[in-house]
Amino acid sequence: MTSVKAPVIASWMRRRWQILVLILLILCFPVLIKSYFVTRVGIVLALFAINVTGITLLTRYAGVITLGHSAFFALGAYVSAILTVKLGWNPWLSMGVAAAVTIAFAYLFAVPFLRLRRAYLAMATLGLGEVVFLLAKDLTEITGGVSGIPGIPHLRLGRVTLTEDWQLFYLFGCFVIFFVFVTENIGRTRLGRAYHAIRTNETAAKAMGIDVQRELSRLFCFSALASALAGSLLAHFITFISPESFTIDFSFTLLIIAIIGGANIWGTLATAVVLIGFSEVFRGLQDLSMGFYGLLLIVALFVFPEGLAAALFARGYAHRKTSANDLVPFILDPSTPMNGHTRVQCLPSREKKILGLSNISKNFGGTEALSNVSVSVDYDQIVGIIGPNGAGKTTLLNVVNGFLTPREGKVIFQNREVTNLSPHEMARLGLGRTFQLINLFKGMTVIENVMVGGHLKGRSGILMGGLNLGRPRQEETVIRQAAMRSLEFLGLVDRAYDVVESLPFGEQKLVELARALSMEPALLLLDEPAAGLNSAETERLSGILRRVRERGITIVLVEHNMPLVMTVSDFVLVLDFGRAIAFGTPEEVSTNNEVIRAYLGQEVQGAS
Amino acid sequence: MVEYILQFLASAITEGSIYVLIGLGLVIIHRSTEVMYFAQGTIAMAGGVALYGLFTQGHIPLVAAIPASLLVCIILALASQWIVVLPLLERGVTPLSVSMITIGFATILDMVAMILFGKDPLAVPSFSGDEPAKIFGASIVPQDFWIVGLTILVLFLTLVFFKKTWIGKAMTGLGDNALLAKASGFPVRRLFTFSFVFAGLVGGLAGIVSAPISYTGYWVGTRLVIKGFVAAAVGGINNPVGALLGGLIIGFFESFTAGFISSRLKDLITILLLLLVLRLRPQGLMGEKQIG
Repeated sequence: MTSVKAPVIASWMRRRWQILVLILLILCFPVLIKSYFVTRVGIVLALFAINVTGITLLTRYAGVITLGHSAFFALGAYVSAILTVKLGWNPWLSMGVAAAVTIAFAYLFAVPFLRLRRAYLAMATLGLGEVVFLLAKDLTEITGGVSGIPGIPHLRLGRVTLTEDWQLFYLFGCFVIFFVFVTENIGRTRLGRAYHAIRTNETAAKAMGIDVQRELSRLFCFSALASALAGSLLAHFITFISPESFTIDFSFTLLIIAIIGGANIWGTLATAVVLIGFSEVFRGLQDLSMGFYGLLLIVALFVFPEGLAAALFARGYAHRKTSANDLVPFILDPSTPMNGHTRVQCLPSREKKILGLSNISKNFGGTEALSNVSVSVDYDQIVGIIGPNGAGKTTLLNVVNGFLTPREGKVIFQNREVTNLSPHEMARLGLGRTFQLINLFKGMTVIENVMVGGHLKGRSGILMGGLNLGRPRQEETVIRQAAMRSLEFLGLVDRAYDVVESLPFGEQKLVELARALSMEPALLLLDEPAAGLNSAETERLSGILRRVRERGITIVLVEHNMPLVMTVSDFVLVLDFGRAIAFGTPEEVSTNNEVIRAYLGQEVQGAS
Repeated sequence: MVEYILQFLASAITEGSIYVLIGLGLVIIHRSTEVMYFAQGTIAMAGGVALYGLFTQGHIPLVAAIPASLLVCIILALASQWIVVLPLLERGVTPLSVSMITIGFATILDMVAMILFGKDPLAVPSFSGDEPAKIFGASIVPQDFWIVGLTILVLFLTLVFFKKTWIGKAMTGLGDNALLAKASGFPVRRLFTFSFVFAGLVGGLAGIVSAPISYTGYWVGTRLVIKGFVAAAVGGINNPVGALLGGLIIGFFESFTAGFISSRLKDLITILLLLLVLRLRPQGLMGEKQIG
């Protein structure tokens, strides 16, 4: 047993040594340093560290700029202060209530405003921070106005009142360790990849089944929770709060720390130590600290644009070099279907149709992109869609995928009407997708990209994922294995740990396909998979498509490469100016007069 | 009652004019670079404290002190473009991130202003005396006329610029699509430079004309830029006319809230207005809906 466990522990230590170092540092700090002043600096630092964990995920992973987290910090502090001072509640209880109130408040803000484009969202958060600051300043009856709330009780543990600085330091240290642990776990696993995906390519993220709204609003609430708890701790630590602790400068400082730190909690922690340490040590100059932060921010952006973490460690993003475990070849049994949505489960066996479009019409402004298109696709078929440029091919895929809602008509997928579903819901039902232009998640490795395709294999949310106990770990293994299988299927295993942008174009296209396969879809929509490929690569692709179909995945592909479409497709749909002008076997279509007119007519015109 | 309303109206237009000027700079920069220029308030602050330094401390006559202060603002705005905005955009940093970096630039300027002029509020005398004019019972200080007059002048010149000059027309045509601008062989750098000169000019003007009606000092930048953003966002971040409308609306809301309800609530009302507009019409009142 021990012989098995020892390497496991060793590998854990290798991967998670930072958190051990952090725990050690926190344990030793008050013992080694007896200075009253330095311990105070440590406590302030701890409060910033708690705050910045959520901001790191929100800003550097998910790309949501927040200028208003002072609002949540203030709410945590004020609710806790008011409940204890005015109502005489127990500090711990009021801290819990403060956290709950803040989360509810954050959620109410997040639901409408996270829909906005990121720049508008940043402005909304700026407004949020200002509103709470002004309320704290002006609702004198409740908040004490500018003079604040004095006499906030200290926290108690059993019979001990926590008044000594070292006691508070340890208490705050526990919170820091907790939030750092959770943040790091989230960053390394499925949700971290999802946030990265949302930041780098929201469209593709949706197509992979990521419910962007839901994930972001939960993350927003998590970051608000961190700030609120830090606020409560602050209130019970200095026993007095006033609006000046909660100005926009505080939000700016958090943001600056996150930007300098990069997409890695250790980077942001190190940044916080430098910045906050500096401004506390040079307390006399404290009014200069914002300027100093600004200076550092600009310098940092030029010296290490990906953040401090990326400069210190190999890369900012959760990055694991090939470990022996990952490369254990996955023995593929060709008879196991890659598609997890086995149709036997969800459908009566007589059902042959997987996708049915009836009378689809869609217009953009005055132009009709699709008019009255009907088509049906059976299980295990490969259906090609061809047509001149602007015929509405991609629009049709987007309608099926849920990126567009048709003006008229119905989409039936696996016996269910799905006309109005959104892309992430379609992904959940078993629809995979690749894009015409490469839509990969930049900055992630190939395997991480493909693992985003396996997003829906996991269900653990931000809390379970953060604690990383039991289920999330198993999910992670399942996702990684599925990703490896798709990579192996496409012959990309040796590229698994390369950053995706470093691959040549043809391989990037294959990564997109691998990512879609990793979703284990029932139906795969491919938008010009051969565009930009050379003839050898195209040849290889047609073999791949056949093998995908053999694994029980139905394919609909839009393609301009006629030889490819005509050889792999069972049926071909021809679109011209948004109308379906022909549907049939490749032979039927290629002899159809209208098709010839549509294509040749155009070519003749083009030639003359 | 009527004189009260007139009084509030006057202060609405005066305050609003300052927000219009700040908002206008933000809109022009956002149009050409997609950057939200957080240093705009600090540029205005720089105009105010420069005027304090030259006029109040240095006893340089206004006719020379005002242009010199404006020049300081333009140089600072250009410096932010050359040091921060352009290099980062060219390295592929997203405009949103660059926006955040302009906060850094602003905090540095604030710090410099604090070192040079200290933390105390700085008073700049009015341009032409403090004897209020009585108009229908409302008393209006001469500085208000300066503010409104210069704002109208700037708006007029801006309008002429957009209608008559080739770069103005090009900016209108290309709008907020920098990529298209680049693809069509447009001298994007020159467009950037122009936007920052413009922002320095209007921002500086806002700080200069408003310095006599309220104290100035290193801290005013943040307040001003927040108000400017509210003006720009309410009107439409890409639309100069929107900035005019947004600035005036905010001026009205602030002035009438302060007059009829409580001056404590005026900032709050402004921010709530921002959130309301973002909620109901994120592109702003005059903004065009963007697809996608």
